[in-house]
Amino acid sequence: MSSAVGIAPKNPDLANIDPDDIYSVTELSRNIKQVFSATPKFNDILLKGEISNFVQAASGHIYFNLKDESCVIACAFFRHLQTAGCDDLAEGLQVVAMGSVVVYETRSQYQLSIKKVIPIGNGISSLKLKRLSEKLEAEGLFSQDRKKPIPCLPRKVGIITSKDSAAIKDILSVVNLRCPTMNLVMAYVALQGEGAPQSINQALSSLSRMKDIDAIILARGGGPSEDFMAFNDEGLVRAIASFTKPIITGIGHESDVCLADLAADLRASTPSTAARAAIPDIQELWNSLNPLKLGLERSYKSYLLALDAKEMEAKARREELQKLRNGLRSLSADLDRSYNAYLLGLKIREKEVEMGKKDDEIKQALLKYKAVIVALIAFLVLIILLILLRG
Amino acid sequence: MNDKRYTDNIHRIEEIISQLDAGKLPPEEAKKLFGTAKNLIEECEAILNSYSGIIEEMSFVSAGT
Repeated sequence: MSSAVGIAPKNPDLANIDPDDIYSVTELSRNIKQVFSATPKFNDILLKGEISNFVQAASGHIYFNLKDESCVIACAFFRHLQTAGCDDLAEGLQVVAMGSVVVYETRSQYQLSIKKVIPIGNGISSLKLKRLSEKLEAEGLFSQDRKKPIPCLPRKVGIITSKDSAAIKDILSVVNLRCPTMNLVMAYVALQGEGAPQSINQALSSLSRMKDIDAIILARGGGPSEDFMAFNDEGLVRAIASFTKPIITGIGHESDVCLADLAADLRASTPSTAARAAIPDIQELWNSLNPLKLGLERSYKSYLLALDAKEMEAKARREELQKLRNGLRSLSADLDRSYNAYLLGLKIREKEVEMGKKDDEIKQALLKYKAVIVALIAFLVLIILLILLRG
Repeated sequence: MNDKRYTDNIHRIEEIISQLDAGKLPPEEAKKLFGTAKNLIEECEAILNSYSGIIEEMSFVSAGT
């Protein structure tokens, strides 16, 4: 083995290289670690920067990045080193941290292991963001009144994201689950870097010209907060606020809120949630339409049955009425007959009475005549007696 | 926009079902409303069947990177 392990000769030729002269990954990483720990300029140093991507783990350890205008360094502040005042640490705070640069050998990654943190106020980017946010809010760009409703049945959905992002996979898996036949327009953009806002703006402009797009998802997966800077760009935020179609943002995770979220018509906490808000659950819609279809058929059938029943009832009533009419007619005929018979009887009786009266008169006349004859006989008898007596 | 057409149709169909259920319509009107509701359902089905799974792609990456 040569003295300079891992040092490549000027013209390497595999046949001439001693295998012992080649570093393993572990050896290189270990060497880097040793260099960091042995170099005083990486140990017990003071570092000024603005906190970003702040996370307090369940274990109590605090992880964040310290950044300035150009660079970012990962930091870890372990629980046993934290003292009073650590609760005030937050996103956007400008701090001076004391610590050492340490290497995590397994991943060959380095970070500042912090022993103490002194807050010195809000960071520049945090202040700029705050001022911009206040300005746009004062202009009403974040107002709820401006928010457009999210359609429940968009004809086509535009998706603005990066081609290889995790977000696109999450969104497509939601599409497959809810509406695999959804019509989509994928607008691939740069989501970070200086040109990202312009790239997203161009995508928005193109999608705005497509008349059958009814909703837009603007999404990117999680990451350090520095990666979301494009979504705080004033021009982009204004473009989102004035966009004619509803925009749903799904940027990063629940805790990542940027100005684009505030200007959007709906802020979803993740790309998947954004997709769920934009893509209709087609099976659910069929599940609600089919019973309605059956309900209509059933209601009309019931209506027709009820109509038939009413018709039958009316027919029965008509028949009943006819029977009653017939009965009445026969009753009326009976009545007429009876009345005529009664009248006839009455006439007969009247005649009989009349005839009876005449009999009485004859009888009385006869009686009168009888009395007159008797009187005459008596008178004759008397005269005869008188004549006899005289005679 | 499909949205308003679909939801309006659903509301109208529900209204017609209620009217039929109330059973107070004259037969001619009931028949006419039933036909209307059937057409509205067909329109809703057409909306749900209108998705054809077309995916268009466009790239704006050169502008950003």
